Amino acid sequence: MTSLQVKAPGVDYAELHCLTNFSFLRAASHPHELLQQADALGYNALALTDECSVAGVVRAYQYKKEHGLKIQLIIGSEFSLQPHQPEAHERLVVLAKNRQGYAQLCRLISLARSRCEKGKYQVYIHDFGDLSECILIWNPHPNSPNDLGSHLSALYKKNLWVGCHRRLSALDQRQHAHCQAMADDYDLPLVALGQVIMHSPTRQMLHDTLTAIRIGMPVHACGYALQANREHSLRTLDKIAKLYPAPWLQASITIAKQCDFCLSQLTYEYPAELVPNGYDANSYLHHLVEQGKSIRFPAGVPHDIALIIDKELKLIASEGYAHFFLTVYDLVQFAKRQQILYQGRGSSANSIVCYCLEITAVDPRQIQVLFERFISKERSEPPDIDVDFEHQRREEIIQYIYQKYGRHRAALAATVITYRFKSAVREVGKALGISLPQLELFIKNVDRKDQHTQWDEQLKNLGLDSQSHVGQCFLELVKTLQGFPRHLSQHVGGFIISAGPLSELVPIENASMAQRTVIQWDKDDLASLALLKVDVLALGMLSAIKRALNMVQHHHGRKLSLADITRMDDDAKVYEMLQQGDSVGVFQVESRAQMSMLPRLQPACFYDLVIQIAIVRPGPIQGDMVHPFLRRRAGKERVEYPSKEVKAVLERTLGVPIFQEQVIKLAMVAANFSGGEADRLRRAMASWKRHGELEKFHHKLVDGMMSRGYELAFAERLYQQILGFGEYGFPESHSASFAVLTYASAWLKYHYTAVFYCAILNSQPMGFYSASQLVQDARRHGVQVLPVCINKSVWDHSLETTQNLELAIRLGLRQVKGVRQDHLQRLLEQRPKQGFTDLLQVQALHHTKGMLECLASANALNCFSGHRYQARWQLLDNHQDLPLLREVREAQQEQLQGPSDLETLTEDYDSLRLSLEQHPIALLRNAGLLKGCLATSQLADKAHQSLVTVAGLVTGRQRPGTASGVTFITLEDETGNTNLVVWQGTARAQKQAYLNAQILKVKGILERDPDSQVIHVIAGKLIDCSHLLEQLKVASRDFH
Amino acid sequence: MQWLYLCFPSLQLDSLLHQQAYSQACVLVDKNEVVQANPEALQLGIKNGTGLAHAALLCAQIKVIAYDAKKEHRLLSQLAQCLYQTSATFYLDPPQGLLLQTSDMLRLYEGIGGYWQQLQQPLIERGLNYHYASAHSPLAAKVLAHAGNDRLLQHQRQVQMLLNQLPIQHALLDHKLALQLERLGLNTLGQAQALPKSALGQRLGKTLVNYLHQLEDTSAPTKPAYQPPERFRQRLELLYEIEHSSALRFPLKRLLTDLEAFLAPRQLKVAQLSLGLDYREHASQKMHVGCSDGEYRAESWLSLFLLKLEQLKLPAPIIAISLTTKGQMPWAPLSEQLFEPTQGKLTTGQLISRLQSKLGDHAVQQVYLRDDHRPERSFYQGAPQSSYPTQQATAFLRPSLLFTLPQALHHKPDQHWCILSGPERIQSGWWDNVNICRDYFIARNPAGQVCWLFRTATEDWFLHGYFS
Repeated sequence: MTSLQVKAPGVDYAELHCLTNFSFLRAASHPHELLQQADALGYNALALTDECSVAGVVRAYQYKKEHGLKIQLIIGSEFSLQPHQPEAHERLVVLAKNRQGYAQLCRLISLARSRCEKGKYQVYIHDFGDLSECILIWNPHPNSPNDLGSHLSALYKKNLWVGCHRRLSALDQRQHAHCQAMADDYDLPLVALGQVIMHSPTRQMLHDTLTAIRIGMPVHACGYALQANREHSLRTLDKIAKLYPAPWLQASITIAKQCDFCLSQLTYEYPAELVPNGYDANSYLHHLVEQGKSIRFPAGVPHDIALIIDKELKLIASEGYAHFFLTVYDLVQFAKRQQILYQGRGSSANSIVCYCLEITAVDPRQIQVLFERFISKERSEPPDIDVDFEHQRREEIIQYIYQKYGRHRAALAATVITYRFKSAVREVGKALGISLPQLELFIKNVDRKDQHTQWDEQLKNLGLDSQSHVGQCFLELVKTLQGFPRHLSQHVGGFIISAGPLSELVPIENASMAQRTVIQWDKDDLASLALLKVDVLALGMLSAIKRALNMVQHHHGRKLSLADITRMDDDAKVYEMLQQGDSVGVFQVESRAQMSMLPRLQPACFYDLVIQIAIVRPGPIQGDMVHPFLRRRAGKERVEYPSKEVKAVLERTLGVPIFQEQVIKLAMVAANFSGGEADRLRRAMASWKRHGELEKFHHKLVDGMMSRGYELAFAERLYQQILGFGEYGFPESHSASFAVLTYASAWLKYHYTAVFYCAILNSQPMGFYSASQLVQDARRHGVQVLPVCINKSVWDHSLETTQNLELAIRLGLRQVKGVRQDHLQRLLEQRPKQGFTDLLQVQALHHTKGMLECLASANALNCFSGHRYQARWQLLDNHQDLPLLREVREAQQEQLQGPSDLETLTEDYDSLRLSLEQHPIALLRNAGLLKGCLATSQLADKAHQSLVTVAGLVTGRQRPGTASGVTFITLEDETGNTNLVVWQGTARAQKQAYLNAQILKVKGILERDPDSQVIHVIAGKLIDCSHLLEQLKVASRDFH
Repeated sequence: MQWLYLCFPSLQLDSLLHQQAYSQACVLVDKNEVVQANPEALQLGIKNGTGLAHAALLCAQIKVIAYDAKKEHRLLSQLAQCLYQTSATFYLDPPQGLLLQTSDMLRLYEGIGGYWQQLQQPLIERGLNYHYASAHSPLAAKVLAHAGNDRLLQHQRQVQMLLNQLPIQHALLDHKLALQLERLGLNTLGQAQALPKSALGQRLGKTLVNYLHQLEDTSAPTKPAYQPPERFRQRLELLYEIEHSSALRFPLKRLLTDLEAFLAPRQLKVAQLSLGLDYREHASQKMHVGCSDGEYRAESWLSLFLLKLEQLKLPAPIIAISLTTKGQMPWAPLSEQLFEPTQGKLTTGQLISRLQSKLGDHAVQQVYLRDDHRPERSFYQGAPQSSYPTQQATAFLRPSLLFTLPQALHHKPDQHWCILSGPERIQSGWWDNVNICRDYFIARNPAGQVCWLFRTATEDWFLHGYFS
């Protein structure tokens, strides 16, 4: 920010033409920077007039509100009449005078945008017909078509001005003369414009760089495409007064005074059709809740719960949110009719009203503590309900919304895609003429997780000459460009639905996906304007659970719903399973970190799961809250509270803050934050990455807590935790909704093991584990897994009853690489009841060769020919399909040698991504190539601190941001998985083996946690054994 | 054996490193994948095919250079020129291979050993990594060389044994085809060769059968063998030493006549000649004479040379002269020659050449425009071109006479000056660190001249040009 200027006496000026960086690559300042600077310079008003867009205005509005700026914010937009050529200077600026004018502006933008693909627009003079409540400022170009002036002045006598800018260019005089001539010819008033594209002259460097990015050339070659000087910034009023005639400045004030629209005037009107005749929204909601009570509480509603329901309904009525709940209710009812599994989450989703409306399956009797978290009056923010649907069927819900409300009333929120480190390095580097391989090297080499060395330091270490002029420019530009918006993308599922045409509330534009439209604001913008959105999200686990429930009904004859499972009392056996860390496939607790946390936390009831899900997250880990919680839970540390207020907040988590809500509440009760401040803290947490505004809460929090007698260390930890939440906030309400799915999936895993694995396999890709790992785990749980077979498999994995009357999983043909579902379905339709008898019969059906070859490689044709090589050989024969030659050919078939064990394995992995044969490590072990290595199952017998050697397939390398420098490697062998801990020093010293090995042999120290018995191997010596398989191949070849 | 194949797996990198010693890890990268790596990089576990990101993890300070297939092809051609001195018949197999017919050379060098020694010499001198193999068929030699066989085999039986064991992935087959063979359990070339060709052809197509035939085909490739470039190059040892430049006229004329005899039948002309002068007891010297439109006639070239030779003082007696050419081009008959008398008429190109000969190359320059807001950088001088696209001037008003360096005005323009327009502010140039910040004015001075003036941020005034 440049020096703050004292307002020049007697100069009044409103800047009516100003672009923000939401006019992508055309302007070099954030909306809030412009507003702040204009305010500091003493401007009376600032109009943000992005090109055919209002995407940036909410941020400026929010900033003005939060910082109490006096300056008037005007909303408008700039249009180039020749479609989207920034250099064609025939421009019109349209400013909204009032709410109606704003609606007209939004309609115009939507119209212009709807004609073009994403990111472009087209606007013609006749589009400007209906802007009666707007001001138009025409910036005529000397070469403009002659009729434009007459056309415009005929349409807008009263609201039309000629705008003239003064940027100290060689063309200023000519431009002036022309503006004056146009004003005289059409009898129009003149007004001063600044054509601002940056808040401060210091952004010239960045602006030139953006220009270079836009036209795709290095800066030094951009020539006259660059601005000749820095006059397109916000200038001091002194200077403005010298440059423009006084009447022009006065005109800007006249115009500004006519514009009294503010975003706060936008009110959201809910769709009306959800309320049947004879009801209003509140009475209808009451009615539905009454109905729901009898479904959810067949034995009658307990007294305390009935009281809470009344309280919730009253609050909903007084805040006017009934329509919102009805909208979500309508969606889930549709899902229910279509038998699509869903689950609501969000701050309001776990209210009892939502339980009664069947929006969520979280039984309030299991988590009574949650109710205080329902919408509260002190927070003006709207209630938040996200609904997860089965991921393969979410599109049906989206289509339902479009169908029900129409495309003019429903659209997706936008997501503003911003320049991140990588894109900034790449684009700035190209603009400065740095070679591409060099830039790629920078990008790939910089470790953003390195907490000790900043990225600019790292770039210097990589050979960036920071002393050179270009090097310094590069660092500065990359720093500034990060966080700049690049384009608008569609939000994953945030819908906004309105009563009237949406395009009068906010402009709509095309998304890159066909048939999708997005609004110009993202979800944070909607939240700051208190507009309601419904999140329609997709969740793979819901698909898996749905499949499992269907299979339970089909194979076991038991009909179950999600709520049925949660309504049953906590099943101790299910928790026992989880306590042992046996959680592969179980929602949210299957990761490696969760798996080793389970035996420590020993979850024994539903609320334990809620904590379990939330605790292995950056927030609690960075705040160092995990270990205190574990100690208290194990009874090794006394649970005590510094005060009664704190006890109320932390009692349910043994005095240790785990959830985001608790942290905010703590700021209120322990550091004396007001409701509004706490709300700002929560916002800052959500947008920490964008603005880095958390720092200013630091002192207030720490000082506030210390003055109330809390320890400095505790306060600092709490602040660290807040920073951690900033990266990935995880509220209790989400955790509770997820816990329902965690419990349901664990319950299915325990009670219907084969069904569970089959359903998870059919829902791939999802979760943490590959099909191969899931199949191995299933087999370790005693589930028989049968190979793919052209005569027995169907597309999906299926369940088959074996001779011992047990359910086994028959692998489905979906597992075969390179096979299309529609092609395969056609083949399966032609399969005779008893199955095909020989390969010729299959070939005679004339299916694509590629598919049959894939099936052969996957050994799915094993039932006909001796082995997969022979099957492929036969399939490849071009002349096979001539019926007369069939027998002759068959007799002549060359006999190929069958695959060796290793080849079978390779073929299996290549064509199925998994193998039911021997594990590669077992092959090596049997061939005597892994002498001295223990199998994973043998580690259990080894003592703590003993020296061990293990070997396995590297199936995972993880370097969590929360664990400084430690890498967790998962080694898989034929008996299970070993968790390897590699310290940074170990990894650095043995880089090659650490990074390259697919099969890794490790000498290390076994460590066993005394409480949970969880085993880790601390890596010492790393040996890359990937070549052993090759060795095995050569060896086997020599034997044949 | 008839054929020898040489392949250079790191031709571009070797050539680079040969010019400049470099002791750190260094790789060539194509599409974010390492394609050539020096020993230091290999030591760190970086191989061909390693992704750039992975390579960067293995060595943060790695030097990365972009692979350039064209450059490599050029290097191969240069290498071929050199090998042409030892080998008569060979073929370029770009970007990295050479196929040599050995049978004819064996007599000359008395066996393969002698020949190989001769052949290796320039490769070693150039610091190249190479693999080689000899075989009865060109393809067999190529396949074995690429597999890193590095043996000169005498008998076909040995070659066949090696081919039999060759993993199919190394057989230089199309990747897809190789994969198909593997998925039939045919992991070595021998296993594939053992099956009837007709059965293979029916299943895997002609390409494979052709390949197998080619492995046995001993005949030469159908493409033409390497030919040295068709460029004139001649050296003339003088019978007597020349001490005065004027005496060069006659030997020079001889060379030029030979040049004309070389060019005329080929219907070629050249744009530049270099005359090499070898002195006794003095470093030799080169003299360049150009004619942008191209010329082949001895008479024309001689007159150009004589203009230059007039200025030449010989530092020592000349013992030999040589002539090389540059910018060879075909005759393009000028249509005007048919009907119009051309004597006494010079084309732009000819004029430029004349001027350059008379004044020296650097004395003749052409002014070009460049897009840059900074006046000093909005034009530049460069070597003249006889044809160039006309450039559009900017819409800005600029003086017809612009000083190369602005002249300081000792007095601020006073009331006797008349400001006609301005200020035009030019503030630009951060990227090359030649920032300027000036306010330009057009003003009439007391003498009535229309001047282009500017004022700097420090309130100093300069005169930068005059309007006509």
